[in-house]
Amino acid sequence: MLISHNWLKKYIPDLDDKVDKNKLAELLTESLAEVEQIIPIRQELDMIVCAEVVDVQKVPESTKLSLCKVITSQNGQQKTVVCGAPNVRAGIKVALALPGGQVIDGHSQNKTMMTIEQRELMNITSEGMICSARELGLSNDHEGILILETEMELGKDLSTILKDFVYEIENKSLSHRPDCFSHEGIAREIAAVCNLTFVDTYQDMPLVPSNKLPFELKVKVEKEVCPRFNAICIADINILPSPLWLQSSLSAVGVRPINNVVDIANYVMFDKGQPIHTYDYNKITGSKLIVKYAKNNEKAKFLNEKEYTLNDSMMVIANAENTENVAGIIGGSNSEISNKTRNIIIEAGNFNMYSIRKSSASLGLRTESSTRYEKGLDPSITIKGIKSVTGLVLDLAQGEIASDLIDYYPEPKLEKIVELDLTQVKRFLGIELITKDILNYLKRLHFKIAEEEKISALTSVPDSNIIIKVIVPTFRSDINIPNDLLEEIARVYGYSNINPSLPIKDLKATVPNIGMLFARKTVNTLSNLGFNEVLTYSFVGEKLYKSLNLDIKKCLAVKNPISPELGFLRNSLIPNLIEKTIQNSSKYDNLKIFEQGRVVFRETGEDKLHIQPNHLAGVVLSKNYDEILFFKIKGIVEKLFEELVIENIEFIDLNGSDLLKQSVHKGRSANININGENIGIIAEISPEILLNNLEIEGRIAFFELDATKLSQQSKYTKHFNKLSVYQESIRDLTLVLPSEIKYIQLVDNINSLDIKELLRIEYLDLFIDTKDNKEQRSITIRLVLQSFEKTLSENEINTILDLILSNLKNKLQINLKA
Amino acid sequence: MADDINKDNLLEHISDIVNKYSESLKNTKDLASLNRLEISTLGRKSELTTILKQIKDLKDPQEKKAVGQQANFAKKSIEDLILKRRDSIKSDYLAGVESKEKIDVTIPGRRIETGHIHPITQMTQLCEDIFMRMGFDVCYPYAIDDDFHNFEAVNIPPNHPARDSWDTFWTEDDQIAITHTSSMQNRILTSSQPPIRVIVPGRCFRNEATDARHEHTFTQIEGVYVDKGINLTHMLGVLKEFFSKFYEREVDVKFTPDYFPFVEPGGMMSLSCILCNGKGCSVCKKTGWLEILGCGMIHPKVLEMANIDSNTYSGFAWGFGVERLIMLKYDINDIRYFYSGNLDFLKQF
Repeated sequence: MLISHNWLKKYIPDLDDKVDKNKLAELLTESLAEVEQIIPIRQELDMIVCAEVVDVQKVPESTKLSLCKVITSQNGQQKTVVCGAPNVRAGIKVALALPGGQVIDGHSQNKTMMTIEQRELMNITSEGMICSARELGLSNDHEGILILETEMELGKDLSTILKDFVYEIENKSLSHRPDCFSHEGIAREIAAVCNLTFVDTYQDMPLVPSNKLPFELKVKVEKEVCPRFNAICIADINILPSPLWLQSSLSAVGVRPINNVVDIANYVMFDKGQPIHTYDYNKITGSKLIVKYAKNNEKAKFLNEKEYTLNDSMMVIANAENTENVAGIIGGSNSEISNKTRNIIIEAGNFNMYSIRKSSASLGLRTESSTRYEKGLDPSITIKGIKSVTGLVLDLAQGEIASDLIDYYPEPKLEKIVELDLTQVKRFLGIELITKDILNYLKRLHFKIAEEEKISALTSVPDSNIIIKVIVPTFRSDINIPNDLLEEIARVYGYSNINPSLPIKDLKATVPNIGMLFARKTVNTLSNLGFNEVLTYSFVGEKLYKSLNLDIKKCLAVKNPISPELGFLRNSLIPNLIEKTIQNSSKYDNLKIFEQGRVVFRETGEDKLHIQPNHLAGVVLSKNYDEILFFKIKGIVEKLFEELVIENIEFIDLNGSDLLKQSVHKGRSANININGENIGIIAEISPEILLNNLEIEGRIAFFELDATKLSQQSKYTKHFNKLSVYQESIRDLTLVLPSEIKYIQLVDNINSLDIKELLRIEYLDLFIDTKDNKEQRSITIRLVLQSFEKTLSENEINTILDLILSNLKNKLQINLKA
Repeated sequence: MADDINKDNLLEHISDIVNKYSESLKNTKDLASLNRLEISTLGRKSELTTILKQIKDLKDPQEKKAVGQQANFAKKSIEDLILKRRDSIKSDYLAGVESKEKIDVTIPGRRIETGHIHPITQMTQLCEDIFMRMGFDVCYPYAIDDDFHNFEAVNIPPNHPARDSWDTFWTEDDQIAITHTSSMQNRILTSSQPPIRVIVPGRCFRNEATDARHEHTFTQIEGVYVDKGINLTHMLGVLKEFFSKFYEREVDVKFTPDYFPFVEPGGMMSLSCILCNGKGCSVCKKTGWLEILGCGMIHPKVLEMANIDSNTYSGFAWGFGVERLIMLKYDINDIRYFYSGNLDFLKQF
C-alpha cells in the first residue's frame, strides 16, 4: 500500500516540523507495519510555474509548431514560448518550465530528467517549455499539454504541489486493520505514535436537493450481507480534468487520473478508506438500483472488458433490468462515467467481508475496493465517504444535488465497550506504567474512557484492580477483548522500550521424545555406515509411480497441486529416493542414501486423520553386477537392528499384498517381521524396471521400514554377555543342503539342541556345484564353542559336533560335504 | 620302524639337517621367511624334533647320550645361526630404510567415506538441544491435519481473510498439508497442565511457486510456553536467550508488530545482524537487523479452546524457519538445494 507524505499533511499539518520522513518510517515499522521503502516522487522537478497563454500564432513554415505568448503574473512581461501541442490555445492556464528548470524527458522510456534551456527554434527564441502530464510525472499522457484549472494562481511554483514522498507499507500485517487502508487511518496512527495533533477536516454538511430526479433504491439481500447503502444523485455536472492537486495526489499513490468525477471517487477511497462507485444516471434503466444476488450462470462484462460467469451467492448491484456491478468488487461498463455524462449517482455501500471475499475468490478478481471490503469495513464511514464525494463533485464539477441522500442502514452499529483491568498491563506486558500514561496512550488512538474523572491514583502504577471501560471507535473493528487494548498500549509505549527478561521456572526435567531418540540413533548409525541423508518432497506424481509399476491411485491426492508431478502425497519414501538415486547416478558409481519422514496413507484412523507413520528408507546403487546387492543392504539393516537393540527379526518371502510388490525383483525381495509383526520390506528393484523404465546401468536395492513401529520395538539399552576366561574353539563345517531347505532351518535346527557351549554360528560361504547332473548347494558355517568351566578338549568338541551332525542328518537330511 | 633307528643313521641325519639348514639360511632374505624356516627346522613337526623324540628308542645308553649330545648341539648351533641371521637381516633392513621409504607428505591421504547428515536434521537437532536445555519438551506434527487443528484451533475461522497469508495445499478430502507446526498447539495445550513448555519441529507446506528464496516445503520450529505470570518481556527474554546460545554470543532482539490471529500482541522478532553485529551489511540490507521469526502472546481464544483459563494463565508462542538459519549460517544462496537430493550439496555438511 502506498501512502503519500503530502496527503498525510492534510491530517497532521505540523508533520514536517516534527518528524523526519526516515524517522517516521522507522516509527511506523515499529508500531504498526513495516515501511518497505520511501519512494521519492517527482523530487527532481524544478522551476515549473503556472502561466496563462494569452496569444497563439502558427509558426510560419511549420505544420505543428505554435508561437505562444504567455504571462506568469497579471501585469508581468510576456514570454515567448514555442509549443508543438495540438491543444494549446489562448486563455488556458499551463505548466511552464522555465530555462534552467527540470522536467521529465517525455520521449525517454525510463523517465530520465532533462534541463530546459532558452533556445532558438525556427528563428524564434523560446523562453521555456509548456509541459505535458508525462513531463510532469502525472501520467503517461503526452498527446498534448496539461491544461491547469482556471483557479490556479499565476506564477505559482507547481513543484511544491508535485513533489512528494510515498511510503510503501506492507499490507499483510494490516489484514485486521481496514481503517489503515486510508490516509486518514495511517495519519491517525502516526499522530498517536509521534504524539502529534490530528486534524479531522471532514465537515458534516446537510445535503439538500435543489431539484429531484426520479431515483429509487431497493435492497433485496439480508441486512447482514449489506449492512448499509448510501446513494445520492447529482445533476448537471461538468466532466473536466481534475485540478493539479488531485491529479498529483492520485498519481503519487499509483492511480491514473481520468476525469474529475472518477478521480474524486478514487481520492475519497484512498483518503477515507471507503470505496465509492459512481454511475452515469442516464444509463441506469428504470432509474433504480437494486442490491440483490446474481442469477446462476449469469454472464456479465465489467470495466476491465472481461466477461465473467456469476452465481447466486454473489451480491450484485443491478438496474431495473441488468446487472451493473459486482457489489464491492468491480463496476460495469454500461454506466461508466464518460465525457458526456451530465447526471450521476454516487454510491457508498457496506458489504459483508466474507461475502466479498468469497465472490472475489471465485471470480479471481481482486480490486482496491474488494481489498478494503475483505478486511471488514466500518459501516459508519459510508456517510463520511458519500458526503466527501458529494462536496468535492459540487466543488469541482459543479452540478446540483438532485435527490435525497438515501441511507439504508437497518441496524446502526454502536460503539463497543471493552473493559480493561489496568493491572493487566504489568501482568501481561511486563511493563510498569502509571495510570495516567495508560489512559493517554489509549486516548491518542481515539479510544474514549467512560467516567474517566472517577479513575483515581493517576500517577501511580495500578496495583489493585482498576477496571476501566474503554469506548472503542467504530472504525476499530479489530478491538474486541482486553488483550487487544494491551497491544495498543504496548504499541504506543513502544516495543523498543520493553526489555527482555527470563521467566522464573521450576526444575522440572524434560522428557526425551521416543521418536526423537530413535531418529537420532538411526541417522547416526546409517551415516556411520556411509549413507547420506537426503530429504525429498512429500509429494509424488503419476509419471514417477508409473516408472516403478506403482499405482498412484493408492496415494491421497492434492486438490490444488503446484504441478502434476507433485499431485499426490507419498505412501512410500522409495519412489522419490529412487528418483534422487538416478539423478545422482551419473556422478556416483556407488551410492547410498536414506531418508526418514512421514508417508501418508489413504486410510484414516479413529481421529479421522490419515494414517501417516514415520518411515525410514535407504537405497543403494551399485554398478557391480557380480555382487548380490540384496545381501549388502540386508547386512546394513541387520547392523541397524543391532545398534537399535531390536531382536526376534525374521526375513520372510514377500507378502503378496505389499505396496511395492510390483517394483521388486521377485527372487530378491523379503518382508521383515519383528516379533511376528511386519515392519517393512527389503528388496532389489526389478531388473526389468531398471533396464526398460529407469534405463540405468547397475542394480538398486532398498529397504523401507515403519519407523513408528520400529521405535516401539527398540530397547535402546544393549545387554552385556559375560566373558569366559577359557579358550574358544572354532570348527568350520561345510554342509550339503537339500534344495528345499533354507539356511535359517539349518541354524534353527542347531539352536534347537540348546548346546550351552555353542557361543555362536557364523555364516561363511555358499557354493553351488553340479553332481550327477544335479545342482548341489553347500554352505560353510563356523561354530564357535566355549565353556565357562574349562577349556574344551578335542573329545568334548567332537562329541558336540557329532550331536549336531547327526541331528542335521536325521531331521533335515543335511550331510557333511565329502 | 625300530629297526631303522640306529646311532649312525641318526647322527648322519643330524649332520644333513645342519648342512641343509645352513644352506637355506644363507638364502633367507627377510624376517618372515626366517621365521618359517625356524618353524620347519626347530618346530613341533620338524625333522630335528622327530630325531629328538626317537632318541628314547635307542637301546644303548652310550648311543643315547652321543646322539642326544649331537642333536642338542645341532639345535643350539642352528638357534645361534638364526639369531645371527635375524640380527643381520634386521640391521640390513634398518640401514637406510627411512631414507628409502621417504614419501611426499603432501600427497592426499586415503579417505574413509562416512555418510552425511542433512543440514536440516543437524540444525533441527541443534535447536532441539538448546531448547531442551532450557526445559522445553519436543513433539512432532502430522503431515496432513484437519482444518480444526491447522486453522480453527489457532483462531483462524473459515473464510477469515487471514487465511490468505497461508497458501494452503488441500487434499481431495479437504484436509490440509500443514501450513505451520502450530497445528499441534491445541493438542499440546489440551493434553498437559501448565507449566507447558514445548517445541514442535516439523515439515510444513505452502502452496507457492519455488524460486531461490521460496520453497513450498520447509521446516518450522514452533514453540509454546504457558504458565502463570508469563508476560511479553519473557517472550523476548526466552528467544534472546535461545539465539544467544545458538550463535554462542549475546544477541539483541527487536519486536515489531505484525498480525497473526493466534497471538495478541503479535509481531516479528528481529535479531541484531549476526554478520555485521548490527552495523549494517548487505545481508541485513543495511538495517542492522535480521527478521527471523513470528511470535506473540497467545490469544486468549486459543487458550480457552484448549480449556486453559486465560485469566490465570498466559503464554507466548513463536515459529521460525530452520532453512533460513542454515542459509544465514553457511551463506547459501538458493533454498531449493535442501530438497534437491544433490549429493554435491549434501556432502558439504
